[in-house]
Formats: sequence, C-alpha cells, structure tokens
Amino acid sequence: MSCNTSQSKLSAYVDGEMSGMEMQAIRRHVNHCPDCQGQVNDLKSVQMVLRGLPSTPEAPANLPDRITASIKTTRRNYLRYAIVMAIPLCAVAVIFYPRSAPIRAQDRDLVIHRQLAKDQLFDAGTDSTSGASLVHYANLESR
Amino acid sequence: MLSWVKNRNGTFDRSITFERLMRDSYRQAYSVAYRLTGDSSDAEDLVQEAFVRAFRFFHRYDDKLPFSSWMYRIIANAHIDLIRRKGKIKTSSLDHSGSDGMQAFEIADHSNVPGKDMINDSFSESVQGGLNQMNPEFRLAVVLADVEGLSYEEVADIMETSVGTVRSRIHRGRVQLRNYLLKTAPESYGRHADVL
Ligand SMILES: [Zn+2]
Repeated sequence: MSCNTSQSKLSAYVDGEMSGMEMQAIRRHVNHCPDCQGQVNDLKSVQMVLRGLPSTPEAPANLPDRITASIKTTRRNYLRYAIVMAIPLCAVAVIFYPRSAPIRAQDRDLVIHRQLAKDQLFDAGTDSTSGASLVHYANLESR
Repeated sequence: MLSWVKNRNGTFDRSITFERLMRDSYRQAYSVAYRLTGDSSDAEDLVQEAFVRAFRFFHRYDDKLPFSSWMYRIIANAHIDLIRRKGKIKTSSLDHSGSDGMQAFEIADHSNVPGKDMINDSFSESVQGGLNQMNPEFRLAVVLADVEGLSYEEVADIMETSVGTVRSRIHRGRVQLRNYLLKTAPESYGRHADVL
C-alpha cells in the first residue's frame, strides 16, 4: 500500500460512519488512489455478502418455555445449594456449641442462687421477673 | 409464567416484564446467537444461558439501553465463556469430534429456508465458516453491524467500547472474512465482487 490512509477509515467510509467533511475528503482521495479504490470495492463486496445472507433458521417455538423452565430450575438449584450448604453448617454448630460454651460449676451455682433469690422474692409478694409487687397485679385483676 | 417469583422489592412485576421482553426478543437473540456460533443447538444453548443470566441481573438493567442491545451484550459475554469452556473440552477429549462433525453436517443442511436471499446455501455456509474463523470480537462487531444493521454507536454501546475501536474491529473482521472467502470459495466470492 503506497498511501498512508488509515485502512479502518475505509470501512467507516463504506458505512457512511463519518462526518460529511471526512466523507468528501476520503472520496476525493479514493478517486485518485487505485489501492484504496480496490480496498473499498473489497469491503463493499464483503458487506454485500453479509447483508445478502439468508435468514438463519427459525428459533424453535418452544424456546421461550424452555428458557422459563431453565430460569426456574436455576433458582431452585440455588435454593437447594443454599440448603445443602446450610445443613453441614448447622451440624457443625450443633456439635460444637456445647463445647464452646460449657457450663462451669461456678456458673451453675450462680444460677441456683439466682433461682433461690427469685423464689424468696415471690414468697415476699413480689414478681421475681419484673420486680413489680404482686399486689399491683392483684389490683389489675380485680378491676 | 415466571410470576411465581414474588418478594418485597416488586420482583413479581419484574418477572412479568422480563418474560414479556424475553418473548418479544428471543427470535432476534437466536438469530445473532446462530451467527456467532454457526450451529443451531449451540445457538439454543447460548440463548438459554444468556436469558438465565439476564434474569439474574435484571435488577441492573437500565432501560436507557434497548433491551435487545442489553441482551446482545449478555449473549456476547456468554459466548466468550462458551468458547473458553469448549476450548478446554476440545483439548481434553478428542473422541467428541466425530459426533460434532455429524451434527454440523445435519444442521448445515437448511435447504428449506425460504429463498428471497441473494446467496445460495453452499456459499452462505462458506460465509458462516468465515465468521466462525474470525476473532470473536471482530465477529460480534461484524455480525451486529453488517448482519443486524446496527450503527457503530449502537455496536459500541453493546460492546462497551469506543466507536473508534468498533470501526477497527469491523474493518479487521471484514478483511479476515474476505481473505477466508478468497481462499475457500474464490469463484462464488468473485461473482459477488464482480457485481460491483
Ligand atoms: Zn489511498
């Protein structure tokens, strides 16, 4: 190629994908440059061949239904995957939970002491959970 | 229907919208997929895969871009993945080539396609063969511009690149196709070139 016209400009020229000014400049050049003229003709033939291609075979009529089914299956598989992944996680949690939080003898004593204290409060006429006097509840019920 | 999907973000409406868009655009999607893969069963797989992806990412779809353009983009990405996967399969098992060859032969014989077309079947197979040989990025640009008739700007939107890059891809794709046709079907190609 003896001239230094950018080759891809010739494709854009064939497609009319440039400004009017540029088109004119290229046209003027192509008219006097046999190399570029040959290239332009080649590009036009390729373009014609592609435009003249027969239409592709029709898409199968059941394709949309298959797509829908495929989307559903994919979603279901995600769910199944999530569940399958969750099972060993739960198992691991169940196995390790008691070991990771063993009740120490000290704590057990504390729990017993708290329970005793609650019972004492109850005996004294006080709700051991809210700390409110049971007399208050008795009043509410009698209304 | 996909309307079984329903959650607080209005996925219910979205899946109805999606299904409508899918049913409106699947033929066009299939036609592009066919040109990209050169095979009807590959095209079906590609379209199916692309719509499954599209549904998953439908919340990201911005309707400033036509739905068909968005689909072309997804098809193009799914196609590249398919090529990569196939490349791996090919290198690992060669005994598959026999059955693939049969399939290609059966599918290539679409002589019942209505014929308002300028190109006969055997030459159109050569053209498809040339597309199959092309670098995938050049192929997509050429198919979108020359077969689907999109503008460079539309192709650039789909390929998420500049108009300048599209121009160069289309050009290089065309040159590759011309060289391929000159080598494999010189007479038929010559007849088309002579028309000019
Ligand atoms: Zn020149």
